[in-house]
Amino acid sequence: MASISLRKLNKTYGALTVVHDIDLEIADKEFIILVGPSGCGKSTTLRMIAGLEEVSGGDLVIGDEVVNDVPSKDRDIAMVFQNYALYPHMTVYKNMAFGLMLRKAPRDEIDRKVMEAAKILDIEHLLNRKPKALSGGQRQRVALGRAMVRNPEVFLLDEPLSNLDAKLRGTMRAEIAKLHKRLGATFIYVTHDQVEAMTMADRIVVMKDGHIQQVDTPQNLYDRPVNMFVAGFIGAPQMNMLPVTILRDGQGFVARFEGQNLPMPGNLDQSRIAAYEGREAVLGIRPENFHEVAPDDIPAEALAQMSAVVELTEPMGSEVHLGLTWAGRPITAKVSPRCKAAEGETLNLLVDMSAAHLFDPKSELSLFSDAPQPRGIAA
Amino acid sequence: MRWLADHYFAEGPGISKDAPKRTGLALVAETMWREGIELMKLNLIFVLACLPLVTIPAAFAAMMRVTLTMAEDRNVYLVEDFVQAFRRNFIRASLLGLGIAAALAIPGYAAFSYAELAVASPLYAVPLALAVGVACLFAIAGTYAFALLVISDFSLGDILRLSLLAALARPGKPLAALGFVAALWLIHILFYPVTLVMPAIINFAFGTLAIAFSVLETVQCLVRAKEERAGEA
Ligand SMILES: Nc1ncnc2c1ncn2[C@@H]1O[C@H](COP(=O)(O)OP(=O)(O)OP(=O)(O)O)[C@@H](O)[C@H]1O
Ligand SMILES: [Mg+2]
Repeated sequence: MASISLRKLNKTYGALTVVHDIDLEIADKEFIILVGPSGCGKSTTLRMIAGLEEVSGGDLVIGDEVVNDVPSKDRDIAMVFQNYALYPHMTVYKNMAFGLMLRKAPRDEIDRKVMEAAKILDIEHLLNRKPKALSGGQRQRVALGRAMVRNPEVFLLDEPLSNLDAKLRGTMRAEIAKLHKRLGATFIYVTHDQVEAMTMADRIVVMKDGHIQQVDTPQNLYDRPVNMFVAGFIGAPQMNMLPVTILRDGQGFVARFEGQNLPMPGNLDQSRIAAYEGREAVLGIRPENFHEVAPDDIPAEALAQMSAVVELTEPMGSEVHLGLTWAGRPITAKVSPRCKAAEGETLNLLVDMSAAHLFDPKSELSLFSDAPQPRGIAA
Repeated sequence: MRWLADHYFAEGPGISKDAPKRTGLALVAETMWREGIELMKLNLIFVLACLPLVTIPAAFAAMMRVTLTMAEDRNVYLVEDFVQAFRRNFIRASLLGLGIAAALAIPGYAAFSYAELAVASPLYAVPLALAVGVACLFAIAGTYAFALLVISDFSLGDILRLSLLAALARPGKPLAALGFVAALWLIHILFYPVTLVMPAIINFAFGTLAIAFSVLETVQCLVRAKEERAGEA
């Protein structure tokens, strides 16, 4: 059993607190990904779990044992570092075998495990080579192999793919996902890369300034971000944030944006919206919720007409990102490559309001979420 | 310092999975380059293990075992592999070593005597050449014998017989390897005392690796042939 619990976990460096009261329950065999801006404490959290960093406060529980004071080598954990940290003077085989040799494992066992890992990772032909000649992807595999031969219950990976080129990252992403299934171990993975997070994780932990903002499945994070930070962090290009006022309109409500009434369709929680009647709110619309023609699956009453001036077009091949000015506000829209908008032109689009988000402008919390306010957010 | 570290840790071009493996001398050179440090350590261990003198054959057998593993492109655990081979082959290696020394002594002594006589009369060049030839043959058989000793569990009788046959049938490569060994010693002598430490860290291990490469293929063939015959029986 390798469930992991972080209970009010803290890390301080002198007067500086870099991880604040983190609570997180990680299930056995789960694939958890930590994301967040640079310096938010992802690596520090991972290093505490690995035992490479002392816990300043709170409890770290692995299985059902509090391991705060258990040294790193006695935790059933293997860590893969961003820079691989291979020993340059040792062959690949020795790099992989080193941990087992230190533990005085029997020779045939070491041999069997190294061969097995090499086979899975397709690096058998490299075993007697030194890291010097290896490419980044090959080094990454060796680093993974070194973790694998220890057969740990928990894998910690700190931005393992960040040094690889895009193509290799794609392949390695798939391989790590396969590896997770195959090994049946708990994976905790740190990344900057949203695609990695969205595609591989069972659950994603979004962090900011040493606080957890939200823990949820990738789809839920995208559909129901608890606050403006998560909403802006997940999804690319970023969600557009517009200042609106909530007004009653007959039976329902509208969001008034720069003199224009945008409908609040019935799928949005009307009672939550009602609480903001006559008040200001922040309307969040993802770039992909702008359409040139009405989609079949969205009811007409959920669509709002808008017209905006095209400032910038960024063709991405499969889609086009438009930089627009809507009633004096810069926004981004994602449209199909068939859209032939030229810069300087005025473009008419439809906004899918059934996918809209609303946030409190002060607390920055989503109106539609019950999550308690995460700390560290300006109140 | 910084650029040195960067250079040391910089990514390489990568090694393609189906890149053709080096063969022949290129492979020998690549292995010597890659295992350079290990070979120097091996040389030191060998010299230390030889100090009691009676341990020389077993130490050579152990060094042969380690260099054969390198030539096979398998992982080597230097100290453990050496000690294990040393212990396991001690008695047989000592017997074999004595036998080969004795076998070499006769044509060696003969060659020495004829060489002195040949200075006086060119007529003795013929028996001299014969004696040198026989000495070389025994030396080559000796390399095969030590390789067979550490790689197989053949009886000493089989080893002697097979190694003599191998020396007669395929003398070329081991002879070249012995030439390489002789060259190493020649360099040591010619450039002495600049090359003072060469025997301590280079001559024995690098020489033995060359020998290991030269006999590997034939020895593997012999072992496989014997296994197949055992399988049929
Ligand atoms: N030894 C240390 N002493 C003081 N501060 C530190 C120390 N190590 C890390 N920090 C600080 O702790 C904060 C969190 O660092 P951490 O490395 O965990 O961030 P991260 O989320 O992994 O960032 P990145 O995405 O850039 O890797 C940073 O502000 C960093 O400056
Ligand atoms: Mg980090």
